[in-house]
Amino acid sequence: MTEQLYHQVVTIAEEYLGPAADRFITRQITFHFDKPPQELTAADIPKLVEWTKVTLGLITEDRQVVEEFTRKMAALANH
Amino acid sequence: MKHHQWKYARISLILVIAGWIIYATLNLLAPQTTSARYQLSPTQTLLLQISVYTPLLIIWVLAIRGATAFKSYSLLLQGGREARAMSLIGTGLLWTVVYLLSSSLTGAIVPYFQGTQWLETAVTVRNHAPAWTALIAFGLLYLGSRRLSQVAPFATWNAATIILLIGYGLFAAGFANTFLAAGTETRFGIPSYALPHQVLLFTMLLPYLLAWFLGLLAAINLTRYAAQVKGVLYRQALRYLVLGVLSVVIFAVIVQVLSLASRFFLGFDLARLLFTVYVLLALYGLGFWFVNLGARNLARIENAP
Repeated sequence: MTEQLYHQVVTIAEEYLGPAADRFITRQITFHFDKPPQELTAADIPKLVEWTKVTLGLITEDRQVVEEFTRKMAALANH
Repeated sequence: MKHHQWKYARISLILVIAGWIIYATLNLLAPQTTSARYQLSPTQTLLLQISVYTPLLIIWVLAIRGATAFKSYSLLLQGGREARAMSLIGTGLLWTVVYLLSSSLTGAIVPYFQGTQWLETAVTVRNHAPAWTALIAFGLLYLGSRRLSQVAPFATWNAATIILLIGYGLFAAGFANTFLAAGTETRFGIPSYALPHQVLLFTMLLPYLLAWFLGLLAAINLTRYAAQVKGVLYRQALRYLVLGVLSVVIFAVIVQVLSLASRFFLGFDLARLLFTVYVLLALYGLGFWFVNLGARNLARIENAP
């Protein structure tokens, strides 16, 4: 289930980060949660959303894209 | 954010600057064929040379910085699906810088062999080194661009590419025919070639023609990759990179076509030659500047904590 969640996050991220998505999400999880990406749980999603928002702010100034991306990711916490 | 740099970036920059110093020195100390040709005074010749070498240094530095920025970016992708493709493109871009240096340096050294038994060898090296360097550069760019189809599926060959092939085939046939029909040219005691045209057709012209076509295919592949690949932010960052690589490929091809044609069968007057060289060099440099910008934008995604 947790590995499936990780893949769902990567699939959303691919819409915005293309081939860099997998590396981006893996880095976020290992760096901020100190655990393998496959062990991502629904409880981690809100914190992951916050970190992603901060990190994307360093990459783009397009707030709309950042909001859209993180809103989709946040929805995974309810699944 | 961390800034990863290709470990040979600094030494590459030093080598390019050293190459420029050698090139400028060779030309400044060479027999003044330019002044004789265009009846210029020594002061006018010196000013002319400074006006050419200074922008040339800027172009070369922009080129090596763009190519090493791309190479640095490709190293961040280790393990990624596009890693090998981007690495090949980065190496191809580095070879386009080697082309810039080899074509200039081999051309600058030839006058020093005037009147010696080595003149024909020097002319042969000058004619072949840039051709084979261009083939390696564009071959690598093509191979890298082709591999990108494993990341975002696209087809190189479709109706538009076939039309391009036919058009290019006609151009190549016309170019080869004009080359074969051109007479022997010796300017200020330096022959334009030292081997029969029939031999040069295969050893020099064919590598050029193949290189230019591979360069055009690489440009097509990159454009299609940029249109097909997923990722809103990735595509935004990729835009400058693609624009840069396209400019480098297209202007490199134009520079090579013109320099080859002017050496063998076209006569330019000084004003037109200088204008053409300035415009092309500026656009070429701009292409590498875009490569640098694009590579740094993409590296921001890879370096984001």
